[in-house]
This record gives sequence, structure tokens and C-alpha cells, in this order.
Amino acid sequence: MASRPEVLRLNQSSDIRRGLTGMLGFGSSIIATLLSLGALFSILAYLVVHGIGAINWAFFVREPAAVGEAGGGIAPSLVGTAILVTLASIIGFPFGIGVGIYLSEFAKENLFARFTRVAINTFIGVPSIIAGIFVYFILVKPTNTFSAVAGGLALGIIMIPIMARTTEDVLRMVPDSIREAALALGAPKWRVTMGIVLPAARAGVITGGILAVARVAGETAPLILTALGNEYFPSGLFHPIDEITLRILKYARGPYDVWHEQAYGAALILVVGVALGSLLLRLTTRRGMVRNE
Amino acid sequence: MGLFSSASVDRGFRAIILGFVVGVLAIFGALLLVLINGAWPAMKQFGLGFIVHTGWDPVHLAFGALPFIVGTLVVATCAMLVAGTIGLLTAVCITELLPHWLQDPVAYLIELLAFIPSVVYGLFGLLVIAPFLQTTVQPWMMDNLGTRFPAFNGAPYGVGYLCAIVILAIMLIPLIVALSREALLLVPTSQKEGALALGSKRWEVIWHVTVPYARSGIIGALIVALGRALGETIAVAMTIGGGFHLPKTFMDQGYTLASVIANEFNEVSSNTYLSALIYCGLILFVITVIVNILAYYSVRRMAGARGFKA
Repeated sequence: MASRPEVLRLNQSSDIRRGLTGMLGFGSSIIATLLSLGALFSILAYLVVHGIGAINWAFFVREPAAVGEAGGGIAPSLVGTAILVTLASIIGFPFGIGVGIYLSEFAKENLFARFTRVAINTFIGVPSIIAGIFVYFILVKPTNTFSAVAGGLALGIIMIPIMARTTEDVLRMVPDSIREAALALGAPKWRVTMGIVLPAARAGVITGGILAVARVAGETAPLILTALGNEYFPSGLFHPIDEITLRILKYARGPYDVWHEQAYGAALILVVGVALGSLLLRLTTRRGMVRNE
Repeated sequence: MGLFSSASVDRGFRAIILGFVVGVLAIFGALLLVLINGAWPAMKQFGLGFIVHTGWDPVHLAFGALPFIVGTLVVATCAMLVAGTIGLLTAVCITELLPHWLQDPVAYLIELLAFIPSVVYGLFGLLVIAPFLQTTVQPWMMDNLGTRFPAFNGAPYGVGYLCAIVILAIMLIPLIVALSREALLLVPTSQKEGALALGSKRWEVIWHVTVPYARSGIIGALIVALGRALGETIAVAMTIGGGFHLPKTFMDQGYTLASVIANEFNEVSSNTYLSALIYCGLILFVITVIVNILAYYSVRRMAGARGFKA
């Protein structure tokens, strides 16, 4: 009997300790979540509050004003972004989708396939500036000029592994029974792949493409080494060209309040564009997955 | 039939697909060769000592990358500590605490952070965080911490290591939340119910059952984030200030391997300088490839449990 109260007391104190630990844990995880959400909202709020004033019709259609003066726009950057992304897609899509098809439809469990898969997944994480260095040496230095083609090539190389992995992932979601049914009907492999599997995964491939485009449109570092930037509308594919991220970089670093406001404005446009892309991705993948099931 | 028989078309298709694969692998190989070739003059001149030497003198052509290697490690480690703690707790909160109808929207909002381009983070760091640090946080740090810990002393520039760490941490959070949430969602309900039935409290279930069960996935998430932290370029380049010395305090300005290339590339005054920058790029490349191979194998183990998720 003598030991009984002692046990009870022990239980009580450990109960309090356990309760406190729980409250501490729950409390800190709620604080962490509020911090994460707070970071998102404060960035968005700053972009909207400081950037909305810069956005008007002229901002979309005019060239930049003289240094430090109000007015002007970022039209050359928008045109440049479109050109660079198009060039990147010309390189990134065929190579990326081709490799994705290989990994999903052809790769057997041999050394070459495994090596390819590891290489693709490794290069997704290589800093994009490395692609910029590569293109600087193979294109910018030999042609003696920074250019749209160089920028597009650098972005295209960055796009390849991203596109390859999403293509492989969405093709793998197509059930094998569909492939087997087509093969049983006598369809050759290329018909099965191009006529059955790829169309079945179409929604996923398209949204993967949008994701890849959004990703490279936000790249800055490799473009410093390849596209350089330009105050005027692009005069040709072998001339320096502007990108919206290069414009933001330049204006953010400048000493003028007008530039800062326009940097916020350009960032707002970029973020809204990318967010729309991600929303589209979310909606279509949800639909696409339902269709595959 | 002949040339256009289905068998030969099939062979042709196979050849085209293999051509793409070989082409891509060739690009990757060429990238490595070009990098080594560009770094070669500096490698010949400075050897492996480049990695352990300080001093970055474009005039006398003496270069050592140690300040940038240390800078990369300091910035990445500190940002990982902050983002790892906040990100993991956030993932736990979303999967284990929030009501079901709130889980997906909150997760989506936080993952939206991942879609914001680096340069926008750099802008935010340079124009918002840096002035805030300069006028508010850093004077407070100097008065209250700096006297006892020299690491918190220095001149309050705003931009510098502290600013880069804060911005990088914000960038890493959505990545860690998204990937560790995936891992936490894989934990079977029966495991949690078992622990509850044994008398565990809710937090004890999370701490002793859910998180340990998802351990390998969480480690994978952290390695992926580390790869990102080591290689982040433009956001760090805009916020770290720039400097060629070993950091002494969190308020110092400096460079990481990636940001020194971005900021100094268009300033190069000699071939040796250019080559030294490419050498930095090569070191960065080797480090990130190793980290990413580790990440690939640890995340794939997790993904294998229920197949890939797009």
C-alpha cells in the first residue's frame, strides 16, 4: 500500500509533462505553418502594393524610358521572353519527350537505361548557371556575341531533363493493359506508343510542358551569360535579347525609385503568369488522372 | 513491303528515340568536358590548392575559392536549419493537425511559393528584407548578442550572409513541405491507431510513430532541398552583397560558388580570372551532382512504395 501513492504521483507528473510536450509540439507546428503562409502573403502583398502602380497600357507596349526617368515600359522584355521560351521549347520538347518515351516504353533494366535515368534525375538538380557557362563557351564565344539563340539553347538544355521526367511519369500512369490490348490487335510498337500511349497521357504531357515553360521563363542566372539583356526590341536572333527576369534584376539593383516600382510591376506580371500556369496544371492533371483511371 | 514494312518502321522509330537519348547524354557529356576545358588554365596554375586557399586578386592573378566554398556551406547549412525546422513542422501541422477540408488548400498555398521565380525572391530580399535587417534586426543583434557572440557583430549593411540565409530559407520551405508531406501521407493509419490504442497522446503518435515511419522520405526531402540550397544562384547573388574574404560574422558580405559566377562573370578582366570562375563552377557542379545522386536514390526508395506521383 505504501508504494501506491508514489506511483500515482509519478503518473500525475508525467501526465503533465506529456501534456506540455504535446502543447509545445502543436503550438510550434502551428506557428511554423503561420510563418510559411506569412512569407507567401507578404511577398504577394509587396508585389501587388508596390507593383500595381507601374502597370498600365504603356508598361506592356513601350520600350524602357531613359535612365531613371518615369514612364516607359518593358515591352522588349516581354517579346524577348516569348522568343527565348519558344527557342527553348524547340530544343527542350523533342529531346525531353523523346527521352521520356525511351525511359517509359523502351528502357529495360540494363546498365544503359539505369545510367540514363540517373543522369536525367541528376541534371534536374544541377544549377542552371552551369548550362549558361556551357553555352557561353560553345556559342557566345565562337560567334563573338551574346544572342537570343544562345539564351534559348541554355534554357532548352535546362528544359530537357524536366520534360523527360514528367513525360516518363505520365506515360507510366497509362495502364499496361492498354498497351497489351493494342499489341494483341497486331499494332507495331511505334503505333502503340505514338497512337495509343502518348494520346492517353496527352493531358499530363501538355501540363508538364506548361510547367517546364513556366520554370525556364523564370530563369535568370544562365541568361546573364548568354542573352545578356537589351534596352530595345530584339533586332535578330544573333543579337543580345532581354528577358523579363533580366529586367527585374537590373531595375531591382538600380538606385531609382521608378525602377524599383517597375521591378515590382514586372515581378507581379511574372508571378501572375507562372501562377496561372500552375493553376492550369493542377486543374488539368486532376482531370487527366481521372481519365486514366 | 520491304523498306516500309512495319518491322523496319519499328526499327526506325526505335532508332529515333535512341537518337534523342544519345543526343541528350552527349550534351551532358559535352557540358562536363567544356566545364573542365574552361577551368583547365586555372586548374593547371592553382591545382587543388585552389580549394583551400583564400585570396581573390584579379590584379595579381592570385585566386583561391575557399571563401566561396565556406560561404556556400554556411549559407546552405543555416538556411537548411531554418527551413528544415519550419518546413517539417508545417508538413506535420498540415497532415496531422488541420481538418481534412483545410489540408489541401493550405498545402497548395505553401507550394505556390515554389512557383515564384528566384529573381522575385532576390527582389524581395534586396528591397524589403535587407532594409528591414539593416534598420531593425541588425542593430538589435549588435546590442544584445554581439557583445557576447562575435558572430552577431559587424557593420549593419542589410545585404549580406544573414539576408541571403533568410531568403534562401523562405525558398526552401515549400520544397521541404511538399516532399515531406508526401512521406507523411504514406504512413499507414493502422500504425497511428495502434499507438493510440496503447495510450499514446496525439503528439506522441506524431513524434514516436508517424515521423520515424516517414524518416527515409523526410531525409530524401532534406537532401533534395540541400541540392537546391547549394546551387541557388540569382536570389543569393542579389542579397549576399559580394565580397572575397572568409566570413567572420553573419553581417559580413560575401559570395557563394554560384553567386560569384553570376555577379563577376561580366566583370572578368583576364582569361585567368574567367578560368578561375569556371573552376568555381566545376567545383559547384561536382558537389551538386553528388548531392543529387544521393537525393535520387533516397527519394526513389520512398516513391517506390506506391509508385510515382506526377
